[in-house]
Amino acid sequence: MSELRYIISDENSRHAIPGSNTTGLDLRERVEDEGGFAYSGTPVRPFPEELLIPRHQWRARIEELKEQRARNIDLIRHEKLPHKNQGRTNYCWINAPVHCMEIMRLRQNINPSNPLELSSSWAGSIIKGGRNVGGWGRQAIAFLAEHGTVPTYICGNNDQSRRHNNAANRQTALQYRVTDGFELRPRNLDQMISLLLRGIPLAGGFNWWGHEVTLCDADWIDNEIAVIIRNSWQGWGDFGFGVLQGSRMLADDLVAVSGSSLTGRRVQS
Amino acid sequence: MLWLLLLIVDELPPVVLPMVGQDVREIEPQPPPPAPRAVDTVTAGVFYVVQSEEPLLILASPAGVVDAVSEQGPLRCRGRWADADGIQTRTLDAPYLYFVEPVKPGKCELLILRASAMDASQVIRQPLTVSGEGPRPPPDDQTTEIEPAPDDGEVVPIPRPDELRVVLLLDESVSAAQLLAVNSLDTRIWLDDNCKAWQRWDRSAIEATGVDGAPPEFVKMWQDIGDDVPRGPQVLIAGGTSVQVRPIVDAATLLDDLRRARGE
Repeated sequence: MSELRYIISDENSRHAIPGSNTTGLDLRERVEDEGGFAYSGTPVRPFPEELLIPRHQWRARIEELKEQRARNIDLIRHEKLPHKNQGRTNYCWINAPVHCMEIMRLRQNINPSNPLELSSSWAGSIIKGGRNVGGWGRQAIAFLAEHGTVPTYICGNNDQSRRHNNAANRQTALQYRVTDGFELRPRNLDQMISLLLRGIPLAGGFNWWGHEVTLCDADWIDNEIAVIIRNSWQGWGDFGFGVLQGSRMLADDLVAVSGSSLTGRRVQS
Repeated sequence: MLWLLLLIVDELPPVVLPMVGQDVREIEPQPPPPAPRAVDTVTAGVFYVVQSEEPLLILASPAGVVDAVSEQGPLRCRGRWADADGIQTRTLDAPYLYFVEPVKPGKCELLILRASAMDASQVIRQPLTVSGEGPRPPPDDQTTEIEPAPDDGEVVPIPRPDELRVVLLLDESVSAAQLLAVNSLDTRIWLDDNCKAWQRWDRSAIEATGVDGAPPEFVKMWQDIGDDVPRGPQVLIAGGTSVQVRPIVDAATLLDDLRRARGE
């Protein structure tokens, strides 16, 4: 049994239907060396094989994480970090990596008692030249590692106006960068679960859904592995959380954020 | 009697008290170098550590002037030390460490007894004086505390509990138990409730990008001791001018280390 109500499995995908929500995963431009790591010079690295956790340990480690309240979902609920809301934009592909940054900043305790929300559209609109179009996580994390993004108090989460791309904001964004991250091989369950069991959130893009969401934790439901996700749709799931099971959880685009800049104390009250 | 005590001590693993040399006067002819003597003053905010290869029983007479807190070595600490001037980083290698801490100003005698001691003649006695003010208790909501001005500039007050600053330092060697310790909500809630500030750092990230954006007191701490912090997950606990560095083992040990540092 799951603690969450929104469960998307091979038999039941009704919670995945966008309805009035937008998505935005677009892998058409992606180079064919996915997992081949074209990021030399950035902090985003190939998945290190020494981080693999054997499958026979998964269930016990999930139970330990639950018992110690050490999962990302426990942290997010405790700190009341809101989920992203991509509104009418096609920017799921940048909302998910930015939410990974927000979670890691909570883990790093950079803004104690004041979870800082970061803007997805500021980075997304620069990457896409102000167009409201799709993209993928690897594009996003490469930009976030090099340039960062700004807090939402500067331009909100969905404002795609290019006027926010000014020198002052670019300077501010350097304080909110990805400082450590990984690119995983597409549809690689072992790499995905190994990082989730280490508390490292992932941005996962799903071809079947045309959508990218944040993968928060591994779970064990109906005697098999599952993934707790957080969506960027307003009003979806339990505080944004849902579950993916079976082949539905195999992401075609997978990046992880394991560290963010230690800066960012300039929080507006 | 003294030769008997020295003979016994000679045959046993040493119990090491903080030692300083005697004053040397420039006179002719030069006298032989003075024998070191054990430090006889305990000051708030200054480490006074007894190191031993075997467990000790440490008592003070009269009681209530000092307290001896046991720790497991090796332990790396930064701060002021009873046998030296200035601030130093030291690694205390002995497996049994006893931090002698002032409770209130006054005089007492430290009685050090090895676990293997057979009779009272094997007791090591060390007179001590607690100088200046002792540690300050936590503020009481019911009373208004007026802090007395220090008698002189030499007394370094023990940091108040709410002045603890903690860094949880991880790297990719982190084990499941160590991750649970750091990510547990219980740990986080304790840190939130008891520390002035705390952060979690990943070594690969700070080695790549530095710590310049961190709060200044954390930057200073890392400048002072970063090169000396052992590999592997560590907890850095700073209070005033001293920093303790302990390996992160598991959730219970981490919380225990934090509580001890806070004086619980």
